[in-house]
Order: sequence, then C-alpha cells, then structure tokens
Amino acid sequence: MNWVWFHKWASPKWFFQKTDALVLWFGFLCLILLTVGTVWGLAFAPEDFKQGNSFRIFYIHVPSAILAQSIFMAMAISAAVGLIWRIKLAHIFVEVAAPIGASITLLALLTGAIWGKPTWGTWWVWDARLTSTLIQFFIYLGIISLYQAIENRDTASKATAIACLVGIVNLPIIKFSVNWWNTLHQPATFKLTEAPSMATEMWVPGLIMMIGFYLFFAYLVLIRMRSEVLEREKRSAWVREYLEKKDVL
Amino acid sequence: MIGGAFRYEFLQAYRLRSELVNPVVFFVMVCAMFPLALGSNAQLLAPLASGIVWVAAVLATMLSLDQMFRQDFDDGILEQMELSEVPFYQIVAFKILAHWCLTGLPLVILSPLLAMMLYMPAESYLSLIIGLLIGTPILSLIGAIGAALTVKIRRGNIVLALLVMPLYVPILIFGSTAPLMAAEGIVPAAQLLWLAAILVLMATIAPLAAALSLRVNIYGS
Amino acid sequence: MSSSSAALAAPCAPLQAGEPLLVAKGISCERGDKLLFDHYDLTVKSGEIVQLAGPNGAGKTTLLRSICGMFDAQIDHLSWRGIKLSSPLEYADELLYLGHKAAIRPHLTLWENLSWYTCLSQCSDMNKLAEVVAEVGLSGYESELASSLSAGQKRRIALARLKLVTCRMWILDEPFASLDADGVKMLCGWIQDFVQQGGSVVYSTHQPVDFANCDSRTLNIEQKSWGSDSEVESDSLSKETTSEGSAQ
Repeated sequence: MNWVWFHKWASPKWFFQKTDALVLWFGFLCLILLTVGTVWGLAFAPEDFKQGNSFRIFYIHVPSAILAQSIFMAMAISAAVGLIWRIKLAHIFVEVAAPIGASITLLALLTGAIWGKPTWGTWWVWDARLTSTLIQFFIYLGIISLYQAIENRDTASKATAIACLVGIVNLPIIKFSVNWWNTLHQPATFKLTEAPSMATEMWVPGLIMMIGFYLFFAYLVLIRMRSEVLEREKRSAWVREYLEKKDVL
Repeated sequence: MIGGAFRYEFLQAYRLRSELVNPVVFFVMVCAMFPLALGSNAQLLAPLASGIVWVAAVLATMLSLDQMFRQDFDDGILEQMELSEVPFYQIVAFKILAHWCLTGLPLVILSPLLAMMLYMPAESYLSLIIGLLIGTPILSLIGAIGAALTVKIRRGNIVLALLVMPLYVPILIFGSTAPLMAAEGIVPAAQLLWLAAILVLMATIAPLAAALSLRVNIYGS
Repeated sequence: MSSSSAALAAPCAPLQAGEPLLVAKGISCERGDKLLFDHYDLTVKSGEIVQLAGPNGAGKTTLLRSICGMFDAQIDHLSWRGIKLSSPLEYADELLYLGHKAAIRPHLTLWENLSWYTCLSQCSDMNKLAEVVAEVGLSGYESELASSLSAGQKRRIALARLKLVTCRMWILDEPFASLDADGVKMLCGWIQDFVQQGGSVVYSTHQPVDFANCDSRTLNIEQKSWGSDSEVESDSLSKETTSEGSAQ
C-alpha cells in the first residue's frame, strides 16, 4: 500500500497549503447547514406529542452530545498516531481539539439541563448518560490543564497524548459503572424520551444539524491548526512568503 | 536484583517516617468530619458509612500521589533507573507497589475501625475491606499514571487531581456500592469481581503507561 | 530487538581497541524552537576519549543525553558494537551516564546510596564498595546522610559509581565541575586507566584537557543562532516521520 500520502499530510507546509480552500468550503457549508437546521428545528418542525415545544432543544442537544464523544475518539486516535509515528500535526490536533471538545460537552450538558426542566421537572438528574457526560467534561478539562501546565511543548504534547489514551481506555468502564450505579441506586423514575420512530419532518432537521455540527467542528479545528502551524513554523521561509503575500509583513 | 533495589524504597520511607502517617491522618480526619457535619444520628450515618470511607480513601490516596515520583525525578534517580538493565516498567511497577504498601494498605487496615465509628452495619464490613483491598491498589496504579504525567509540573497537585479523578469514579462506585448491597443481604460478587478485573487491567497497563510518561518527562528535562 | 539482545548478552566481555563502539549518524535535535543539531555524525571508538567543548547553550548536554537515550533525538543510523539498533536505550545498560543531577537520595547514607546503585546493574561489585569509597576520599563518611554532605562530596559519590560498575562507555556531563584539584587529578587518572583497558569516554567540558598517551580528540560544538539568513527546511517538523527512528 502506498503510504506516501500519509507522510505527505504529516508535513505542516503541505497541510497548510492543501487546507486553504477546505477552510472556506467548510465554513460556508456549515453556516448554511446550521442556519437551515436551527431555523427548521426551532421554528418549523412539528411539535412533539408529549413534550410540546420544549422538545426543540433536541436539535442542539443531541448533535452536541454525539459530537462531544466523537471529538474525544478522534483525539485518542490522533494521540496514538502522534505517539507511534511521531507526527507533530497529530499532536497539534489533540491540543487544538480539546477546548472545542470541552465546550461542546458543556453545551450538551447545559442544553440537556434546559431540556430536563420542563420534561422531568428538574435541572439535573444523576442518570447514567448525564453522569458519564459530566465525567467526560472533567476528562477534557484535565487534558487541557495538563497541556497548559507543562512548559516544554514537546513534553506537553506527548504527555497529553498519553492522557488521552488512558482516558479512552477508561471511558467504557466509566459508562458501565455509572450505568450500574444508577440502576442500583435509583430506579429510573424519569426516562429520557427516546426518539427512534420519529416523523420525517422531525429527524431531517436533526440530521442537518448533525452534519452542520460536524462541519463546524472541522472548520474550527482547521482554523486553529493552521494558525498553530504558522506559529510553530514562523521561522521558515514558506511562512514568511505566505505572510508577505497576505500583506501582513 | 530488583528486589534489592526495592527495599530502598521502604528504607527511604522509613527515614521520612514522620511523613508516612500523613495519608492515614487525613483519612481519619475526613471520616471524622462527616459525623461532625451531618450530626451523629446513627440512622442517617449507617447507609452513608461505606460512601464516606471510600471518599476519604480516594482523597487520601490522591494527596499522597505526588510523592511517588517527584523526589526521585528531581534527584535524577529515575534517569539512572531508566539506564539500568532492569526494564523500566518493572522498576516503576515496584515503586507503585511500594507506594501502595505505604499508603493504601494502612487505609485498608484502618477501615473497619472507621466504619464502626460511622455505624456501618455488621454485614457490610467484609465487603468494605475486600473492596478496599482490591480497590486501593487500583487507585495507586491509576494515580501513578497521573503522577508520572505531572512529575515536572511545579504545583502539580490540582492538575493531578483533575486528571485522575474521572478515572477514579468507577472504582469509587463499585467499591462503595458493594457494602450497601451486602447490607441488604445480597452478595456483592459483581462489584468485587469488576474491581478485580479492573485491577488486573490496570496492573498490566499502568506500569507501562507510567514508565512511558516518565520517559517523556525525562526527555524534556 | 531479539537479534540484538543475543549479541548484547555479554556486556562485560572486553572489546578490541580501536574498534568502533558507537556509530551515530544523522543526529538531529530540536530544543524548543532551536535546531541544535542537524544531521550531526558522531563515532566513538573503543579506547578513545572524546571531549565536547563549546559555550553554554551550544548543545553539549543535549548531544550527550541523545546518545544515551535521555533525550529523544532523531538518529538516522545508530549502531553499537557493529549491531544496528533503533534506540540508544537498547544499549544504555552498557554505558554509564553521569549528568547534572547527582542521582543521590538525600535521606539515605552514602553507603546505602552506593549499594542501591549496585543493585541496578549485574556488572557491579558490592565487595569493592569500601575500596571505592576510600579511593574517592570519603572513608569515614559512610554513615553520613547524603543531604549533609557538600556539593563536592556529592559529586565524588556520583563519581564513585564509575569504579563500581564495569561498562564500556562513560558519558560524563561536565564531570570536573565542583571538584577540587585533587579530585580533577583523580578523575583524569581514572579516565586514562579506563581508556587503556579498552573503554571509551565521552564528556563535555569548558576547558579541554590534554591526555597524554591516549587516543583523544576534541569536538567543538558551536553556538547555533537564529538569524535572518538561517533557512530551516520547511519540512523539518515532519522529518521524524520519514526517519528510521524508533517509536518508544
């Protein structure tokens, strides 16, 4: 198998030049999708039979919850790639995605609470999923603070990568234990309403929001990675040329 | 050969024996604070007893984690250990074992006494002790990874706590619900077996992860 | 790893003089934003003394640490005793590294510190302990806690290790620091004896020493500077991906 493409993408200069166009496309697309999805979901989608209008927060809550977990998965894979093949871009991805992941997790928790109040009558419940998400949030915070606290950037990247991998190993264990704890301690008097058999008019905006959220993440990550690459390679010739072209220098 | 090096961990701890009691004192203090704060009502405290003991054990372990590698890292001892022909992860595993013997094991031994002070029902004692016996090594193992990652950070305690706390939650849950199940007459085999499984998992990967983390920090210094 | 471990199984066996011990080609070290070494080659023969001289911050310590596995440098070709290896840590047990940190436990006595050290290597000799302590001029201090000793005495304890363990190469980072004139003479004598028996010594110093009757050379490590003229390979950060450097 031809691995040249893999190593090519590991080059910061190559990455920077190839993602120039991508950033614009992602940004544009996600703006469209998010606008369409939000307006459709929050204003035009039909009311839920049981929950009424409070159901609409689903359109923000569910994508953000799913994205929070996907981001961590991506970080863990990137961490492994960075450690095994020593690709600095992979470490940059982990560093850059962590705050985004933390914010999305917080968004999921807050929108979940907003959804919970009218549905369950309470802002917070120690449900298995909520508790695991809260723990996930703390894992993100731990990774961010570890990266900030170590002075040597190389050491910080590698240490953060190891922390990501240890976090991912524990995630299933956390999920399982909290599930168990919840069923032991508290019979589920409040159930999260599932939405498996939703009407088409309901899940289509959901899907649009989902894709929009992913594109939004990709857009943010690309912008941050690109600026990090510029900062790290600031002494190279190609960066100087690029900045001169942009009339910055 | 490694056994010979191992006893120097205990010798070093013995020389600093006034610091050895710190985790134990902290453990007792936290357990004592709950009746003081919540009132000494036996009916209130009894169902909370196992939870309180476990929380105190987790906090006491977290406090002692900093000591695991920091001093030896700063002195350059870990560098020499890495260069020796004994595989680094083995040395790290023995250090973790020594740490548990000096901090976790005293907690296990003291736990029945504190449980009694918190009015824990008689049926729960065995599962509390067994749970702590299996659980505190896991706390040391996971804590070792955190300690190894934060060994160069000057005031690393908070970062260490933040890193390690989410990973401690499953142990806490399994450990503290076992005595509760026992009090209801159900044998908490599931919780204890889960703890044992996590112990085996962590005993295999934690020394490797901690050795890797220490190596990464040595590279950077 | 398995092909090399068989050959490395006889760590205490002697080598012929003049045979290349360590061949490291293409050493590249980056510290922070500074590229300290760009494809630097270093060869050390058995029975040879290599002195690294240069100003502070030039990278002497980093180079020494790179060849003993304490620093994660990228090395294109690495071989030890003719066997191609992927990481310096694979031969690290055949060398002795004395860095800036003394590796002394402050709450153990001198004797205990040295006994602990002999436990780490199978080529060490516990019986020589008393003799070595006398040789470094610290007899009478065996039961003193290391924390109560002076910097120079701690340096002597560190140096005592050189005599306790048999190995092929000494990597010493500024070994003459905090030593008095007697100590300097003692160490120079040790280096000469070691080298005449077939060992090699690589060390860094601010003042190069003349070793009579020994195969010695001085490498000058220059200060690297970042100026407007310096051009860095645009793909410098991704060189790691195309080298044969080891994973971990």
